[in-house]
Amino acid sequence: MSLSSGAAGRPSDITEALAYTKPLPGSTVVQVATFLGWRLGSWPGAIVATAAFLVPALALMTVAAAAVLALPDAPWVRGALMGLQIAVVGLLAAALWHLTRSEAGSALLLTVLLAAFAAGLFVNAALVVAAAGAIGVLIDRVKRDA
Amino acid sequence: MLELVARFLVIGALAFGGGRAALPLVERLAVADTGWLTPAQFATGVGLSCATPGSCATPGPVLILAAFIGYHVAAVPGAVAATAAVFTIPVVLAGFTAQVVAKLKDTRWFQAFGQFAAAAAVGLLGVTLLALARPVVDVHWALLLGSAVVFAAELRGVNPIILIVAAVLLGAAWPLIDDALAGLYIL
Repeated sequence: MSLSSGAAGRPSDITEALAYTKPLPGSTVVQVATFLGWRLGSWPGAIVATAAFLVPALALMTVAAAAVLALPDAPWVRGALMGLQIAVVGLLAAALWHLTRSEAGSALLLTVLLAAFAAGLFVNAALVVAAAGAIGVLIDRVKRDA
Repeated sequence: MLELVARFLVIGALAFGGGRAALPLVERLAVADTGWLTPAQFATGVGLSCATPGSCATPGPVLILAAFIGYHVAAVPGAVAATAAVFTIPVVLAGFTAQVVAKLKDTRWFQAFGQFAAAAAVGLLGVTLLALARPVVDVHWALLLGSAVVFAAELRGVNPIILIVAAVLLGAAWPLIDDALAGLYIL
């Protein structure tokens, strides 16, 4: 099922899928696969496309998790895992940098970001995200009415 | 198992801003709230999720981390259940979006919700960063210099997988390097 052929196979479909799934919660790349699958074959198409996209990653991750748990408690293993942790901290800092630039485009959103950081130290993370969304809706209402 | 599925369903519903922005939700859930994983195990999972298809450089399916956590909680059934749960709501929404072509997207309130929720998720990523840096600092604060090098290299466009592999190899070789340095010191 190649995208270069068939009724749903225009490059613009991918652009459209990206634009429409980006505001939704969840991994955008996976949702693009779902969106295109739906175009090609309704709900069965969506489910097959999503599963085909996820199963290899799921299998790899399961094997990796099993392998990590089976590692012996040796100095080189502890060293390797510490090296991994150090790298992940650096990569996460980089992700934070990129995401702050892309998601906090205004002073208002930057304030939300910083407030969420402060709140996240004490309050459940899911609540913080949901509350921030609700505040966004309220502010939007007030702006529209004004 | 039920708790695993329920919690990952919620994460899927709240993952505004893509998979990477959902990382703090996953970290709070698996480490801080339930203690299913130690911070070190979680960091291992994040590192591995960068090496599976999708990668962590793009805002890819970091949510596949659900498989790693699910496996720790309940072996293979746990991995499958957690992954299915975390993708259920996003995938159903994406399907409906294709169906009605973005009725939801054009709804003002939904856009405002998503924008603020995404900004909040990025702020929470700062909390996750602190949680993951802590065990490193507990060993020795100077190890964060290594993180700083990785940070700078990533911003300059070095592939994250290369950075992870280099850090793991250096870490694995560290006992040998340490011995060699100690030998030099004695001389």
